[in-house]
Amino acid sequence: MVDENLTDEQQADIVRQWLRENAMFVLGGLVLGLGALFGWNQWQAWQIAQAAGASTVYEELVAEIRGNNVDEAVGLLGELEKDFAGSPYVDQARLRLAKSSLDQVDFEAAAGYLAAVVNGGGNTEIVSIARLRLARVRLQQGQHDAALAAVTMAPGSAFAAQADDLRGDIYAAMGRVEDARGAYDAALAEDLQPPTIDRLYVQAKRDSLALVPAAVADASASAPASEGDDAQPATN
Amino acid sequence: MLQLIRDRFTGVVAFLVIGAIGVTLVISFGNMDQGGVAGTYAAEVNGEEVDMRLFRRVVQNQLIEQQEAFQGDLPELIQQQIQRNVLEGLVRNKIVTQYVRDVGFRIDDTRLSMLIGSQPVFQVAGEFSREAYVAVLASQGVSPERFESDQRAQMEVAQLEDAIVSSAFYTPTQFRRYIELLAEQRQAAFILLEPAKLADDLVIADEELTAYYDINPDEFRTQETVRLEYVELRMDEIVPQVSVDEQEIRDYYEARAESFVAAEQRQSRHILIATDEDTDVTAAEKKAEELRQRLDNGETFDALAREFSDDPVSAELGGDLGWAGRGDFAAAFEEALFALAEGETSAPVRTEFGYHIIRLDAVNVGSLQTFDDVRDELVEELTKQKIADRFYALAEQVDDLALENPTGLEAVASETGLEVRTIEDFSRNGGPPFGYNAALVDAAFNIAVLEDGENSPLIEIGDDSAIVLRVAEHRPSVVQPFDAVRDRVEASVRLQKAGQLARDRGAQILQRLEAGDSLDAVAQAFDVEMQAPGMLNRNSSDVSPELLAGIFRAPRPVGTAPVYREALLADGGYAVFRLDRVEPGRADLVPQDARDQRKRMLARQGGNNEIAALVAELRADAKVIVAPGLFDQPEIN
Repeated sequence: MVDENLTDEQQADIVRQWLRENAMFVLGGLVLGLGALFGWNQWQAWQIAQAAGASTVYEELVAEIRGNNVDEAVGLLGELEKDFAGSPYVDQARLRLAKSSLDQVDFEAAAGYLAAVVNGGGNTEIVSIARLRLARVRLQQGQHDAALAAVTMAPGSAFAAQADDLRGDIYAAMGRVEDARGAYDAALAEDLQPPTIDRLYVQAKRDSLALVPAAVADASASAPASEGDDAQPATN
Repeated sequence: MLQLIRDRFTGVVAFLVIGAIGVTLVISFGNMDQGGVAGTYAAEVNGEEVDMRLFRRVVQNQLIEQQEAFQGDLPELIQQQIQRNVLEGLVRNKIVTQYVRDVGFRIDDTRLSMLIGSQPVFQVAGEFSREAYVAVLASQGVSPERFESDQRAQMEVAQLEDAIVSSAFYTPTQFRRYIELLAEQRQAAFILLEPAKLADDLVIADEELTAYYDINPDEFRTQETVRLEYVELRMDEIVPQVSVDEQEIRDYYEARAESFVAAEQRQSRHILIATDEDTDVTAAEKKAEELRQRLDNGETFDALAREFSDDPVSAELGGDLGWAGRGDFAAAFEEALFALAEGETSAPVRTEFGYHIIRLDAVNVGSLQTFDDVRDELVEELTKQKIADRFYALAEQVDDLALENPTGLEAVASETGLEVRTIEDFSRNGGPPFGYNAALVDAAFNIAVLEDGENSPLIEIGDDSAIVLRVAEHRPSVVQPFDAVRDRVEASVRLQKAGQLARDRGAQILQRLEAGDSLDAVAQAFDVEMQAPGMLNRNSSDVSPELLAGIFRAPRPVGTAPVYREALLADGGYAVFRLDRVEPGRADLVPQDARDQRKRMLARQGGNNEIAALVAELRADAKVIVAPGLFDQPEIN
C-alpha cells in the first residue's frame, strides 16, 4: 500500500485523507468491538452468577434431604427447574430425590425423577447413569420390557459393561438364560481398565446360570419380584 | 507388583489419591500451570497443560514411597510404569476438572471462603487471619487468586463425586440376588486322584528320560554367575585413620564463635493504640496516656490489653509479645523496651503503628558458651567432617585409579592400601554379602565389565560404603549333562506321567458315572477314598480352591439325575465330584442392621463404578498430547 516513490509528507497526506473518508467506519468498528467485548464479559459474569446461584439452592436441597425434609427438597427442585433450567444441578438434584424416594419404597416416584433426567436432554454421561438406574428400578417393579428399553446405550459408551451386566440381570429375571449368559459375557469383555463393574460378582452370576437345561430354567427362574421383609424402608 | 501399582494409580483411585495429597500439593504447585514455555509441560489436555514440575514432583514422591515398599532400588521397568501411571492420574484429574467447569458446576464464594477459613494453617488463635493466609501463600509462591481457583475446582469435583455416590442405590431385588449367590452353600462328594500317590507305581524307561531331557533342556540349566573381585571403601574403616589436634579444635571454635553467643532476650507485653493517616493523633496519644494512668491506678495490664489494644493477636493473650531480642521490633519500641527494668511499664511510645504502652516481664541476659563447654561437641563434628572429607577424597582416587588401570584392581589396591576381595558366586539375583542391589547387579552384568573384563565405575552402597568391581570369571548358564541331573529328570517325568494318568483315570471315572455307576462304587473300583465334606460356602478352605470353584460353577441338580463334574487342580491332580445340594443365601436371614450396611456399601461401590465409567468416557473423548520424549529419560531429578 505504501509507494516508495512518495515522500513522508505525501504518505502522511494519504493516511489523513483515508482517515477522513473512513472515520465513521473506524469509529463504528471500535464501538461494535468494545460493545461485543463488554457484552461478552457481562454474559460470562452472568453465567457464573447463575451457576453459583444454582449451586447454592442445590446445597440447600442436599441439606434438606439429609434432614429427611423431603417436601422441602421437592420444593427446591421445583425452584431449580424453574430458575436454573440447563444447570447440571437440576439433574444432580433429581438423582438425589430418586434415591430418597427409593429409601421410602416409592419406586414409581424414583422412576419419575430418573426418567426426567433421561428425557431432560442434559449432560450425556449423567443421562447414561440415569438410564442404568431407571432400568434397575423398572426391574425391581417387574417391568422387564421397560427395563430393557431404558438400558440402551450409545455404541462404544464407557457404560457398555454396566449396561450389559444389567441386561444380564433383566434376562435372568425373565428366564432367558442363554441371553443372560451372553450379556454377562459381553459385560466382562467390554469392561475397561480400571474396571467399571464388579467382575467377580458378574462372573458368579454368569456361572450360576451354567448349563441349566432350558426347560428347567423357565420353570424356576422367572419368579416375579415379590418383596419379603426386604422391601422395608432403609434406615439411612 | 506391576499390577498392584497399576491398580493403585490409574483412574478414579489415582484421582482420589492425588486429590488427597491435597492442600500441600495445591499450595506448592497451584501456580505452575501458568508457565507456557515449551518443555515445561508433561502433557497437554484439551489445550491445557499438565505442569512438568508437578509431574516430576508426584513421580518423585511415588518413587520414594515405592522404594521403601520395595526395600531397594526399583527396577527401571517399574519406575517407568510409575511415571506413566502418575501422568495418567494427572491427566484424568485435569479432564474431570475441565468437565465440572464446562458443564457448569460452580462453588459460590461463601462456601469457598468457609472452606479456606477453616484450614488451621491459615488461622491465628483459632481465627482465620488474612495476614497469615497471604503470608503462607506467598512463602509457597502462590497468588491468592490462583489458590482460590484451585480450591474451587477441587470442591466442584468433590460436589460431582458426592452427588453420584450419595445418590447411588441397590434395589431390594438386586440385593436378594446378591445374597442368594454370595451366601450360597453347596454340598458335594468327590474323589481325588493325586499324582504323588500314582507316581510311585509307574515304570519309566530310560528312553523316556532322555526324550524328556532333550525336549526340556532349559529345566536343567545352571544359573549364570560371575566371580567378582572388588575393592570396598568403608567409612567405618576410615575412622581410625582420622584424628583432630587441639589447634584445629581451637581454630574451629574461633571460626564459629558467633554461634556460641546467645543474645539477650526480653519478654514483654504491650497495648497498642493504632494510628493511621486518618486518625486524630492527639486523641490517640491522650487515650494512651489515660490507659497508662489507669495502670498506675492499679488496673491489670492483662485486662486493659484485652479491652483496648488494637493489636488483635497479642490482645487475646493479654498483650503478651513473648520473647524477643534486638532487631525484632521497630526502633523506637526496641529502645524503650531495652531501657526498662524488669516489671516496669513505659510511658506511651510512638512508632509507625501508633502509641504503645510497654511492660517488661522478664529478661534473659544471654550467655556465651566457652570453649570448654562445647569442646566435646566440636571434636565430634570435626571428626565426622574429616571422615567424610577423607571418604570422598579416597572415593575419587579409587574411581580415578580404576579408570586409569581399566583391566585390574591391583593398582587401586596398592595405591590406596585397600584389599581386593572376592565373591565366588554372584548372579543376576545378587549374592552375599551385598544381597540384591540393583546398581551392583547392573554394574556386574554390564557388557564392558562382563565381557571385556573392565573395571566398573565407583558404585555407592548406601551412605557409608562404595565399591569398584570387576568380573574375574564369567560362568554363563549351561545345560548340565544328563548324568548329573538324571534324578531330577526322573522326578519330572514321573510327575508328568502321573498327572496324565490322573487325567486318564478321571475321564474313565466320569464315563462310568455317566453310564450309571455310583460315585461310591467307582471309588472302590479305583481304590481311592470318597470324601464328603459338609456344606461349603464360597470362602471354604476345606477343599482346594480349584475344586471349590468347580463345585460353585456346576449347574444345580434338578430332579433325581445326579450332576457329575471334574476339576483340574493346581498340583496336577484331578478331582471328580458329585454336586448334591445347593442352598441359595437368604437375604431375610441377614440382620436388618447388617443388611442396611451391606446395601449402602454395595450402592457406594456401584456409584464409584459409575464415576469410573464417566471418567473413562471423558478420557476417551479428550485430546491428550504427551510431551515428546517424556518417557525417554527414566532418571528423575
